[in-house]
Amino acid sequence: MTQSETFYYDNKIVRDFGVATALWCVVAFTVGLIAALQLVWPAANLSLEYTTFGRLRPLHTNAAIFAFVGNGIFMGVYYSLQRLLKTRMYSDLLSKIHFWGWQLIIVAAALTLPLGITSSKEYAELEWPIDIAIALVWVVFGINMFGTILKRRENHLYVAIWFYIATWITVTILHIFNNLEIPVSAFKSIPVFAGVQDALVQWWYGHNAVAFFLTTPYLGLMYYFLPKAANRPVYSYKLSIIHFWALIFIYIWAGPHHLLYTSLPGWAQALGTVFSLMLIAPSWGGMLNGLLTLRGAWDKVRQDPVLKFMVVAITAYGMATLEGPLLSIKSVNAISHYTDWTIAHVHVGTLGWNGMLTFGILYWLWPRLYGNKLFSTKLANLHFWLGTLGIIFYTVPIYWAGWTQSMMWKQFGADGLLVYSNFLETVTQILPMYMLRVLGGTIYITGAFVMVYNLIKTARSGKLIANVEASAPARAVAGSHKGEYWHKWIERKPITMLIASAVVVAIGGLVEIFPMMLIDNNVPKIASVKPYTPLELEGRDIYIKEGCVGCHSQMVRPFRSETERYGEYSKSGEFIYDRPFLWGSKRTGPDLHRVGGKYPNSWHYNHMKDPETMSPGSIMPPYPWLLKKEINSDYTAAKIKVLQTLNTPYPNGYADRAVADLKLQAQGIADDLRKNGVEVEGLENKEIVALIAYLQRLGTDIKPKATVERIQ
Amino acid sequence: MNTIFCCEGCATVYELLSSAGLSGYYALNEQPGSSLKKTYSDHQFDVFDDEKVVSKILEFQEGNICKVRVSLPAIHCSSCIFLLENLEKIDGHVHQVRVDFLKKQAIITFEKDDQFALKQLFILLSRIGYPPDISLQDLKTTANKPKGSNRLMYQLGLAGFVFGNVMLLSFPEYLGFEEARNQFFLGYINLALATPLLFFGGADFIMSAYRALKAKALNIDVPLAIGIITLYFRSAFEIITNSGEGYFDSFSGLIFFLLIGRYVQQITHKAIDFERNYRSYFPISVLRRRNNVFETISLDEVGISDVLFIRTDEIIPTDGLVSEGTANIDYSFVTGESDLVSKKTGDKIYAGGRHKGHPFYMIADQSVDQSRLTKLWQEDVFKGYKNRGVKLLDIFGKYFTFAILAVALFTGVYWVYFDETTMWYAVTAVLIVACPCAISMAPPFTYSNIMRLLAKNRFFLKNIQTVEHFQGIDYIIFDKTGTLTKHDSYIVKYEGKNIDVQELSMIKSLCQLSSHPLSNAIAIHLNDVESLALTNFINHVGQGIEAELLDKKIRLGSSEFIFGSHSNQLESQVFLEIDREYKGHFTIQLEYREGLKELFSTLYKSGFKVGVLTGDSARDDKRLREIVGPETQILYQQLPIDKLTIIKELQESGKKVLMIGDGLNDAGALRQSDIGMVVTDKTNNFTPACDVIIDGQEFVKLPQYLYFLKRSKLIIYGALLLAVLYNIVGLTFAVTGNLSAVVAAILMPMSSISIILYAITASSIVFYQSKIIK
Amino acid sequence: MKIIFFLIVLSLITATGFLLAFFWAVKSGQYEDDITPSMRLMIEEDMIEKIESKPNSK
Repeated sequence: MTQSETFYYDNKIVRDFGVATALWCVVAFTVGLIAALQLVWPAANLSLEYTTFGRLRPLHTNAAIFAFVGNGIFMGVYYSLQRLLKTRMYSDLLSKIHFWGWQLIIVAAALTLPLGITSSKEYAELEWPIDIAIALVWVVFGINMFGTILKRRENHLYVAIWFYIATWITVTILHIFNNLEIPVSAFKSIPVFAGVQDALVQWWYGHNAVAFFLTTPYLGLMYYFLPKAANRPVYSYKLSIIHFWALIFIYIWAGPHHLLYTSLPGWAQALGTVFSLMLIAPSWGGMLNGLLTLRGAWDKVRQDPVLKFMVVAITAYGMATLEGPLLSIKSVNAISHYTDWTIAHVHVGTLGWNGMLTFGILYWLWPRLYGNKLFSTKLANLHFWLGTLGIIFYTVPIYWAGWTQSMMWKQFGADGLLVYSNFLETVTQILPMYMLRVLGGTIYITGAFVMVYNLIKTARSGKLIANVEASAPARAVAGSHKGEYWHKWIERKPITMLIASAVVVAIGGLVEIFPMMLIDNNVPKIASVKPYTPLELEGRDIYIKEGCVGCHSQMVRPFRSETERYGEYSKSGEFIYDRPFLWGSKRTGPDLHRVGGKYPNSWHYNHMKDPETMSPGSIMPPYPWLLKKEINSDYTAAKIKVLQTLNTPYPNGYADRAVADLKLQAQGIADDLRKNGVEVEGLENKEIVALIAYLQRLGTDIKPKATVERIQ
Repeated sequence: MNTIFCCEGCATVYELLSSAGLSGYYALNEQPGSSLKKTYSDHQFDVFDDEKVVSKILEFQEGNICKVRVSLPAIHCSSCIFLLENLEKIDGHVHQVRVDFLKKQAIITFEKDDQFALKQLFILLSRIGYPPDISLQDLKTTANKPKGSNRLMYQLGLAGFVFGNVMLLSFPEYLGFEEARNQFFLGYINLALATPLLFFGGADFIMSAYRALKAKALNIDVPLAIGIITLYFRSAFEIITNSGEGYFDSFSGLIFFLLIGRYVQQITHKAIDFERNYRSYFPISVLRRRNNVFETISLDEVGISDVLFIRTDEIIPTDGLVSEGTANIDYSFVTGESDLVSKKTGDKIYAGGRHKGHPFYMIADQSVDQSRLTKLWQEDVFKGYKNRGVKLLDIFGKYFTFAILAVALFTGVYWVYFDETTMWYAVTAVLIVACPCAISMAPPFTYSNIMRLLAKNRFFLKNIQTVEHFQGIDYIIFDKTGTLTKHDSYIVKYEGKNIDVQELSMIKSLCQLSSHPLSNAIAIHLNDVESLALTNFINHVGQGIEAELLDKKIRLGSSEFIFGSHSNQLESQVFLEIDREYKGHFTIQLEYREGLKELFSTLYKSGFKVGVLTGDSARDDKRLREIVGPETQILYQQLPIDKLTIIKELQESGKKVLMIGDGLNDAGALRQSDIGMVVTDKTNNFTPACDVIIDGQEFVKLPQYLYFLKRSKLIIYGALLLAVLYNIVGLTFAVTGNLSAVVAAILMPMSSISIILYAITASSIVFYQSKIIK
Repeated sequence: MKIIFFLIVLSLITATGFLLAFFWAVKSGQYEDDITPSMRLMIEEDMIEKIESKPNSK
């Protein structure tokens, strides 16, 4: 007699992702702390090129988002999906491939980013081979998840699963389309889109990465683990369903708010604003649904650290999702953008929402995985307070720093001149706040270490229950046995599934070529804007490699305070040869779009050698290796060729002449440097020369008098 | 596990569960399960031996696999879900159980064999404390899934999707980026998005308007349809001729908000859907004797001249004659009065009564569908909805349509004279902006919120129109038994000689042996007394009861039973004799509800006229008069038809009558009255032809409810006023030929949303002002 | 700025996909019951004890 089918939940994979979460959380926080330390004490990079702020920042963000939060997502999804669907994961092999593949990607990121192998697009810095690896592992995850959904024994898809599905689909699309690039070498590629277009795609991606990687999957986790931890059903299941659909339909449009006051068309900016504001409704609906789940259970919250973590997490979600839309209002954005305000906003989200929810889930999960009690509730409570205090000590000074700096940037004196015309003054002013931020980060990270200790102790005193027995009736397929047959087919033929998916992926790859046909030139053209010379191109790639974009924007907004400080505001036509665009999102240092011709070559040379000599008190680290390393022109010709296929108007056959051109222009700059007292052997082959060539070119195309001689 | 159980039944359930490994049931909630106070008998499900009955109930059957949807009223917490959904662990025949918590239903898939079938499933469910509630209704309609609700969900999904995207794509236009429209074909994308919405979503409103026009009537959907059609075609025209950006954002927003209005209305209905078919109170099966063979048949199958066996506590299923034995019928179900009527062989009995006493046989002379009870139900007055008066909204809609057409005409004429090119632009703009979206949304949202607030306090309105019907009420008529008096709560008084403790015990024990309501009342009254085992119990049906303890003989009954002669029996009295000695008598009266005096005086103060109509005799007049006050007219010994006639007369004299009753005997009166209200002490009690159900506990707050309902009219007027104001603003733009897409796009959602907010806040404020909640 | 057109179309396709998913959800009765699933979540596997002695359990 058929009745219940007995099966086993895979707890091992959950444990593995849990361990990875805890491990990478410590790594991501440590890297973040080092980076923060460098902002008050630049020497903290130990004079190594691999540990400068410019290279650590992407490492930190990637580690936090994809390593810490990513593994946290998978941990929660693998735990909840099996139980919600009353089935083991579709394939243990795929689970394993997913786990190890993802860890390898993280390791690859941790190696390549300090080496300066980066595409410079925020949260998408990884170069093309890793991008492909991500896509593959993500597809493996997708097959595993949808396979599980197909062989489920529970007909209803709980709302959390919808959040997971939305995450998978949108992240797939975003990842593919933001990483459309043509390889130049194994570690270098050139993006298909240029300038404004690249910026738009990037921030369409960038915002949705926040939306669909940091938010939707975590909402799914919230809807699963919060009711579990509180032992009461979610306040309103109906509301959670509405929450999901409303969020999905609105979120995808909110991206352009990252580009307010930029060269993006005005209406696209306004669109981003409106949809961002509309987001408050579903977001707060979700937050209230979470908090109201705890109504009548607040006595429990007082005792249970898991619930405490979750309450702070949900509150942080509410704060971040209220603040986000406010920041997308143009007048607020005018103040906040490029300052530490954004950094504070993001950290309320990550430290508060993602961090605290992950911790809560880990504390809830660990005793269940190991079949015992948490080693120490006291330590968990200690962690809770360290975490909460850490967030406060981190965010409050950084908010303060952001507002202070923004006010200083915009302050005009009675004489109509900028009061703080020297950018550095606005930096030194906020250094105390940066120090406090380091303190906050230290507190938060201490909490994380306490957690790791607690989890290890818990694991040691128990034994992993790798497989949990469960039983449930097979899913009845109404009226027919066809469905049953189908699901059996799926179960029997994982290989067929794999092949089918491969075909789908291949079609996806073909679709990727389609946008190539869309590359157009009808961004308002400015006749004087010309493609970069080979030397400038190499200089630009050094700029990218060193992560200069992490601290310097290249986008002068149309405010008097900015045109006064930097010069003519940026036009979209100036960026048509920028692949990738380098507008930046944060001004730790001044904007560089009009830096070309502002200082003599020798100033740049000395500044890169030791910034303090030119700007005493600067927190920019020295870049002595630029003075020693030689320009790598091996791929210059290849780059030119790729750019030509992307419609950059180099003359026919220019690739063959590119290196010669490069040498010629380098010689000119080297001569100029020598004239000004820089005596180094082989100067014309050094990277610094290329960088100077690029910097001196920046923003000069539309200047009446270019101070740099162009070489044809 | 240290679990203490309230009764043997619950303990048995525990043993059953823990042996199946399901004692987690007790860990999930602090107090899971409901105590098994009601006993069940396995024979109760005998009817399910009949394949015909089974096939009517099963939703699906293939081979031995059966699927059935049953109502399990005992479901009340997550433990229930846990237990029921793990039923297969208790009995392997069960494959899967899915619980729908809100509906208190379970969908059960099981495999039947020789030992296990639907009947055994029901017995199993009953054993673990979830007796299924199977009524005739289930036999009539096997699958009662509403299919229409999905359609609305699809429409809403599509409308939301189209609205969001069209709004998005219209933004460039609002911000003056005209080149964006042409460059990216945004207009055509909008057109492509909006067209499906016209056919799937908009069409419903247009069809409704079409039907109204065909019936030569004007409802609010007529101007809506004009607006929708004008919006669509003008926008399409503008885009195709490239003469403008169109109003597709307004178009999709309009439909989206209208659909939300419908959705709100629908879920309010669903949540308060209490109208249950009277059939659900009928027994589902009956035992028929044919050639001395008994068989259980379903009610449908009862034919004329079938001999039916009626057991104690069964409801008489159809009209007929008593053929063997004596029927003691409690017609309270039909007449509301609890006196037992004794019928001897050959007497006529009617459907709906409940038999108390020894089983008897009857010969049916009607099939179930044609019985007297069913007929009463089907009399003209009960047919369909009460169709009194037109909906407020439709009256409004009528004038509104004329007004708008007049304005459009005027606008057209004006512009023909001054600027012919603007003519079509202005006229269509008038029709667009005047589209009464906000107006049509005000009542559903206000009323829905009112219904929701009331339902929270266990005051249930049948539908939205009921709120409107409350407005003119000036005459209130009460039934007595079960309405003014409490249900099943008696005052028992004893007058006579002293009786000792042992004698009290004897009285109680004797009463416990009988199921007569008066005996029950006495037994309950003597709750604290010990019970004894009596012998030689004899039930003289309709007369009295007697039994013995050792040599002592105890007799209880009517005066005729004790004294042998019919005396002047004023109230419900029970006479007591012990050892042939008359001891005294019990007086048993139904207890009146508390707070009635205040209730009546408040009603008078508020200007209502009040009357009481009862089927009872005047024996209780003094007590009643004291409560209702001198002004109230009381009429005794009213048959159901009399009540109906009186209400009709009142209505003919121009009164609007609110009738408050408790049961089927009032059905005619309840239907005839402008509002029929049923007082119930159990929410799921029988609720016939009424418009309102009020909980017995809430009954005394009636004046507050009336106050609130009357005030709600003002809220609607306010909402309509607000909507008209929006229209005036919009029309000003339209008439002057200045209605740009942006203005329309802002005005339309703003008016809808603000009306919704207004309706909800205003009704909530008035509700709290009414002091229904202290 | 064809890229915007491209993003619009891409977003519309994605959104249409979600719309179809919504239709599927409604059609397959995912939202017929919007309370029980949240309560079902509370049921843990370990609430069912293993009854070894039960002869006919499989």
